[in-house]
This record gives sequence, C-alpha cells and structure tokens, in this order.
Amino acid sequence: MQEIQLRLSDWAALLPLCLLFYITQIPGFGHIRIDMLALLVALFSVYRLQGMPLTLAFAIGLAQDVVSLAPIGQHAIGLVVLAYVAQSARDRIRMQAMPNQLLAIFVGLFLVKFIHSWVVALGFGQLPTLNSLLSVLVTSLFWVPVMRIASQLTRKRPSARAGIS
Amino acid sequence: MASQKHIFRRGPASFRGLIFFIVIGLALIFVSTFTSLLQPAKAFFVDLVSPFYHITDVDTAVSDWGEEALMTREELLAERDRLEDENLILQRHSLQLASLRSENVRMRQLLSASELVEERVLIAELVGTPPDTETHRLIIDRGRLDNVREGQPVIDASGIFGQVRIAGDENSEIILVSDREHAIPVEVLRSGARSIAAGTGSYDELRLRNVAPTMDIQVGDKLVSSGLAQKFPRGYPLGTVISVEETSSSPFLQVAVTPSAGLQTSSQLLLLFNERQQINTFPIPVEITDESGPDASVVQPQTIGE
Repeated sequence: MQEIQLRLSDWAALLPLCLLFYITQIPGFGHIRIDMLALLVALFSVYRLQGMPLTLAFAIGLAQDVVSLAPIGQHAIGLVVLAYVAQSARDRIRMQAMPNQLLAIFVGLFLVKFIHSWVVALGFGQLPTLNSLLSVLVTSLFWVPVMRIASQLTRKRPSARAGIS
Repeated sequence: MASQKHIFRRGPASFRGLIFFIVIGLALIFVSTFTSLLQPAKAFFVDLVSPFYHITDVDTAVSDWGEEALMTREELLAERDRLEDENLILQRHSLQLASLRSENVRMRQLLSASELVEERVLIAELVGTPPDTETHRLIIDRGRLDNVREGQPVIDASGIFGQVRIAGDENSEIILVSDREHAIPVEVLRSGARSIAAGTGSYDELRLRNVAPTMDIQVGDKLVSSGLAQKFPRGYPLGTVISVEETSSSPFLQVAVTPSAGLQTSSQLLLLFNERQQINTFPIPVEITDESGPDASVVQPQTIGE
C-alpha cells in the first residue's frame, strides 16, 4: 500500500498550480478541461496527512467557482461531496492497485460532474454534453501522474523514507 | 520518528457537516443564479481572475512573439502589401457606405421616420476562456473604466459575436451567441421575416425559435439583427441558414443557422456604443488612428460641423 506524506507547504504549493492547470486550455482541445482541483481534493481526502475538513473542500470549490466565473456554490457542493465520499472509502481506495484506484477516482469525478451538470440544468434547463464525460475521463487519467509527483515529494522527506513500503 | 503535529481533526467526515455545506452551497447557487445580489461581487471577480488568465495566455504570447521575430523581410513586405490592398478596398466600401447612409437619411426624412442611431466602437482583446465547457463565455480586457456596460453588443470582423454579461472595472465577461443562455432577435435579409436565434451550445450552430411553416425562409438566407429589444443595433450579420426542416413532432420548422462571427478564432473584438444622433447630421467615412492608448483605439464616426 503506497503511502503519501506531504507537508502543508507542499499542499499549499500544489493548490495554485492546480488552479492554473484548471484554467489553462489544452491547445486544440479547448472543449476538454482537466479538473486538477477535484484531483487535489481527492488526493487530500484519500491520503489525508492531517485530515481533510469539508470546510477546506468547500473553500477550494468556492475558489474554483470564482476562477471559472460559474454560479457561486456550483463546484463547492461537488467538491464537498467528493471529499466526503473519498474519506468514507479512503481505506478501500488505498488498498487497491492503481487501475482500480483510477476507476474509483473516475466514479468520484463523475459524481462531481453530475452535480455540476445538475446545477447547469437547474439554471438553463439543458442537459450536459458528452464533452463533460470526456473531461472526467481525461481528468481521472491524471491521477497516475499526480500520485507519482506526490510519491516523489514524499520520498524526498527523510522522516518519510522509513515509512514507504 | 517525531510525532506529527496535526492541524486538522482526524476521523471520518461528519455527515452533518456534509449536509450543512450542501445547504450553504444550494443557497449560494440560488442567490447567484436567480437574484442579482451577487452581481457586484461577480464584477469584482472578473477583475480578480483576469491576471490568472493572462498567465495562462503566456504560451500564446510567446508563440506570437516567436512568429513575429522569425518573419523574414519578404514576408513582412508581402503582409504589408496585402494589408494596404485590403485597406484600400475597405476605404472604398466606407465611402459607398457614407453615400448610402446619406441617401437613407434623406429618405427617412421624407417618410418622417424615427432618428437614425449611430454607433461608436471600441476594440477589445481576448484575455481568456473560463474553463466551464458547458458555457460559451470569454473574458476581454475592457471594463467599466472604458464605459463598458452590461448588455453591450460585441461584434468581430465577420458579424455579431455576443454581448457583455458582467462588466468589471478593467475586464468584462462576454457571452457568445452560441451559448445556450443567449438569444437574439433577427430578421431574414431577403424577406424581412423576423425570428429569434438562440444558442445551442455548439459553436457552429444556432437555432431559430418557433418558426412558423408559413415563414418565408430558405437555406442560404442571411440573417441580420433586427434591432428589436433595443440590445443589438439593426443590420449586423448574425449568420446563414444551413437547414430548414419540418418535423412531425413539432408544429414549427427546425431552422439551423451557422454563425458568421469567428466564435472560436477571433481574438480581437469590437464593442458597440449606441448613440442617438440627429437626423440632419450625416456621417462621413471613419478613420482608425494608430496611436496607443485606450481612447485612441475608439473609432468615431465624424459628423459634418464637428
């Protein structure tokens, strides 16, 4: 079972990077957006170093709403639900191999997108397009590099090296 | 191993906490979507997030700079010649337009018609695209300090682009005509028939609403803004009809329109300022100055006697 132990400064540094990654358009694929903030919340919740209060997930969601100029609260609700579900299933997810983890993350991100789309439908009476599902699929694939980066940051810490399995 | 100092409380998340945040979130969504209480905050957010979008635009800026830096002298001269020819043609069109406008004014006088409305334009540049793929919104580098207001029409070189949705102090969010939340009154250039063109969420297609089977419209017809609802001035191109279909499930025709504007390609836009003008003043051809500064980029129609 892989262990991730990051300092608070590491998490704080990852947040603005994920924010910038979220708003950056992929050249030629503007209809696909990588929701790195949701991945960050999932990482927090599953490998919580010091616990992941729902308050922090809500705050990150509000920041996401502000940056994306969406209705305030839209992403916040999704991330809070993701944080709760990820925390509830953290032990099972951590025990799984990477492919199974990817599936679990995909389900969690799909839940976030479903909530987001429900809000959009509430406001506009329209259903989401398939581009949303494509974004979820691509985002969940980024779980692998995110885990690798977190593992590398963990290995760099002398106190954490003894705990790596 | 030293014990870690925990900032956050361990243990499973509280279900009551989840419900609490969901209720708060729903309340915020309701207030944000169905009321205008958060409108001042939204305007502030537009200015707040614009630097982030500028940062993410660095790669485009570097690419553009690289292209310009690597251009050969021959390429520059060819581009200059092409722009000079294009400018000459546009000046000729502008002179023709001035003459047509004068004739239009005289005819309206004879018919005792209402005043003509003159427009000024302000050039704006695209700053960034919000990441929500379900909406078609953009951020531009003009705001209230440039007299931009909410609802202001935006066009590009080819046609109607959208309108200002939220006006911050220095930046604004515009909603494209292809957004599912957007609709604009239009008329068929050929027949004068009127309808409403609504966005579908696709950059390549708009739909006309509630088109009666008796309406005189066909594939290839050009649609222009009708000027109704006092939002968009009359006569600006919106798009071209690409299909007209009858369906058994609806009493109305299904009319699809492809937008004229480069919704995914245009990076330089024009904001339209409507100004009332007396009917006995006639516009003369406009000139675009090449001075720097926000005011110098305003193209103003000059009137005789000014």
